[in-house]
Amino acid sequence: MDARRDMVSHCISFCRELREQGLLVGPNETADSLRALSYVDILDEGQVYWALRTILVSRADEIPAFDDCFTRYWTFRRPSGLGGLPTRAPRQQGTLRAGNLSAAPAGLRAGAQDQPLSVDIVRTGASAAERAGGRELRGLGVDGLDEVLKAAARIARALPSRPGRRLKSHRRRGRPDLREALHRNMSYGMEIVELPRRRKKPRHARLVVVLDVSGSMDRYAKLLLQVVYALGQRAGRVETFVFSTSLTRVTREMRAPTFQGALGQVGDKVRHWSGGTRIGGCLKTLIGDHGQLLERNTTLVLLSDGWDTGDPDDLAGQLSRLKRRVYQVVWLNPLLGAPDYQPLTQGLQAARPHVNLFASARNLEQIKRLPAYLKG
Amino acid sequence: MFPSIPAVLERLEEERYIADPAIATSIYLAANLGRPLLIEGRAGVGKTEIANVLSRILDTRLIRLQCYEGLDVSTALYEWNYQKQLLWIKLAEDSPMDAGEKEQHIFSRPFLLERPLLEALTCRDGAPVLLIDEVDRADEEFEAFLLELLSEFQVTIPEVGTIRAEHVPLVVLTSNRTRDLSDALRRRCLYLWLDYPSYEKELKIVTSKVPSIAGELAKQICRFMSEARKLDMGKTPGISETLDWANAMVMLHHDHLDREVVQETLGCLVKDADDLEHLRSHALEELLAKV
Repeated sequence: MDARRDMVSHCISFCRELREQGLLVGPNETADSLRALSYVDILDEGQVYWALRTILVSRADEIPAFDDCFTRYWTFRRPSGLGGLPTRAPRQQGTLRAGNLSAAPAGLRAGAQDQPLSVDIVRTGASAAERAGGRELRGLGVDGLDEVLKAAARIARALPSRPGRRLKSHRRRGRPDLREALHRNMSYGMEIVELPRRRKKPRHARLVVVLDVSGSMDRYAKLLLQVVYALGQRAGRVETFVFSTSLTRVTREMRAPTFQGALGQVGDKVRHWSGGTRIGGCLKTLIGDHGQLLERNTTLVLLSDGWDTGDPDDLAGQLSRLKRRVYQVVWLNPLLGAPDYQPLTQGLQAARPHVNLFASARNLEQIKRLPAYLKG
Repeated sequence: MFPSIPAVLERLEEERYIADPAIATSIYLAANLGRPLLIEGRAGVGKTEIANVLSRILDTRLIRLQCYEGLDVSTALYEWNYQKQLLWIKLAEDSPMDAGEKEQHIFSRPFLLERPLLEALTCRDGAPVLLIDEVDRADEEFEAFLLELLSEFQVTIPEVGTIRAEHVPLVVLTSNRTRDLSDALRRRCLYLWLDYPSYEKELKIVTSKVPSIAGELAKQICRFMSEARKLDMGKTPGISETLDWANAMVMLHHDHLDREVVQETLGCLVKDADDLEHLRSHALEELLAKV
């Protein structure tokens, strides 16, 4: 009995640890994992691993944290039956390519029956230098945020909308709404006196915002992060990414109820603050891994100064692929407003033909002027 | 439903679905804990196929709801048969029923059109497999509605009352991640992430799905695919592309890969003009050298 009670309390503390790591684990999930352990062979590491993983993980990017915890909490003398844990390739820090996203099953090591179990763990914690970015970020103030929020709401309204698939009742136009007709004409003894109609409700455009957080952008970071945050709050369907040398999706983090909270969460997630820039490569990742977001009514907003260390042809190529898939590409460049700045960097020259709107975003005044151009 | 995880693996294999312990464990627990299973992964890795195979294994009906933007309750759950209602009213004009009785009559079960979700609840001959495909394409409102259904397995239709599931269906949801699903929905479900298969797994899939293929050719195809997926492609080919290609090879009576054959049939696996151009001009030679 003691061993059993130990197992239960061990599993509970494992769940608690995962919750602290930010996984969606509540009492229900804990109860389910206990139930699951009674269904599988608990001496078989493979079965325990996969059972707990399918219950406790709820999105692909939680898998590395789960794996890390699992190796710390569950040690098995020898793998048997289904085999041990999946072999894991060392992860590159911070990159969000789907290859590492899964970080798991290239196949279980079925042949490793009598070898001692050893798994390489890559700590996902950031180094002190990388964390500094996050802390610095938290220091950014909220002053002026209200103004930015108002501007963002106007930008959101200026984005083109097209008829969606949902229907909404309308007095004169659209297709007859039979359901409503039956209900409404009941009182006339089922003689159709009124004919209510429904028509397609306009649907908001999707906005994909890609923010450059490389070193050269530091001066404008506060305003631009505010803009990005405000768009996330005020526009309906917004997806947010940040990039420097690699691309990270931060949509969820940017939805935090306060600006400070969002900054904290983004700072924790993103490991490549103030690095170099590789716009072309990051756009390629965007198209490859998040291509589903790029629809015909998507407006893509790229916030970058265009100091690219990558190949200009590559950048142009990726931009032209992007432009073919979305409604419009808007490049907001904080340097464009500077009197002594000519967009001469090679990357920018190559990019220009593939951008629908190339505008300055040096200060709030310029951000406010954007809606006029977006209406097109 | 299933006695053990190895038994699930075996049954899947009998139905020619090559699974791994991750898939088998998720199915086993979904069936035993009575929880929906949420499957995420890239296009063409066999997400939908899991539901198909499950319904074959359990010998039950597969009820499929394809999600799309604007999907609403009247297409997913139920709709009144208005034409039938109107006809009945015309026919019953002279009947002695009063208006209240008439109303009650036309809003009763015979006038109800069952859509997939209601069908899954009212299925009489055993628990069906309910596939809610590409749930990320439906909008948030629909997701919220789904939550209620998936936790209680009952729905309320104002005119009729509450309908409870006769047999709790085995629910499989798939998502391509075009939109992040809500935490609430994720919590209701078990989670399975499907990745591109390993070389060994893909080889097993090809030889079981295309039995007439020559052994050496199958190996070459799978090696080619696993190398091709390492390239930075705009649209990375999935398992369905591998199978299309293998079938094409068999149909064209080829028994090994060479430059000419690959050039001819590249359209089976590369479906993006830029990728095709890149492969033809640079990468093909390298890939073939590795195969």
